[in-house]
Amino acid sequence: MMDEGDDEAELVWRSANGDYLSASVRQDGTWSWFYRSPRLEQTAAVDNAKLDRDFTQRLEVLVRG
Amino acid sequence: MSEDELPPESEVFRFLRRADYHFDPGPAVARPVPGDFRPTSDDRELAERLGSTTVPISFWDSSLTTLEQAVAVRTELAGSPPHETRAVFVRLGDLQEVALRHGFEVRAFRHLLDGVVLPGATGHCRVHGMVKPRGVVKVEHRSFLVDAASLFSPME
Repeated sequence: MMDEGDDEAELVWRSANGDYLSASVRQDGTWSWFYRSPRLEQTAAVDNAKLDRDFTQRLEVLVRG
Repeated sequence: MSEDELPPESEVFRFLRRADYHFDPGPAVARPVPGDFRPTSDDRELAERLGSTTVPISFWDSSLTTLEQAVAVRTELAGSPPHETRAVFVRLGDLQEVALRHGFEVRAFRHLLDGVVLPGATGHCRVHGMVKPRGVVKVEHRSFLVDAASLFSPME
């Protein structure tokens, strides 16, 4: 879904106990993952716009199998 | 605290900004996700008009407005019924507490809607501190929003 003024589309998943996971794709083709557990107060995030190109290429290979 | 600021014991509610991208864990479970706290173009316009450094988002004071009244006011303002009529509520103080824990500040102010005289219109308020301020790392702010979202309950 693209909201007005936003530059990314976001897919959201949330568990019954409140854990939250989202995958976002920006208009420039970069993407990010975000995970947060309010119970455990833990956050994990990956943003490919901030990764080096080699890492991104390795991920692409993994995704393609 | 200024006269038009809501006290922490206030209960406030907000309409979800949801579309079909969201998967709930069960039927009729309406809890917000960070995207539900995104400002609308009206919110941004108002912030600009007020010269506000933070963008407030729209909430309603439960002690002054019912869900049905808020839907009626939104319909009047937009000229057509809103796309999403589900709403979620929270005690303002709980929201403020979580914000502080993450290093943010949330404050709510009454906001009169120009020219709207429908019942319940006086309960409209603007909440500052939910939109990511410039310079704040997105992951940190999103962590706050996810924790804040877990405090909300669906309006019956």
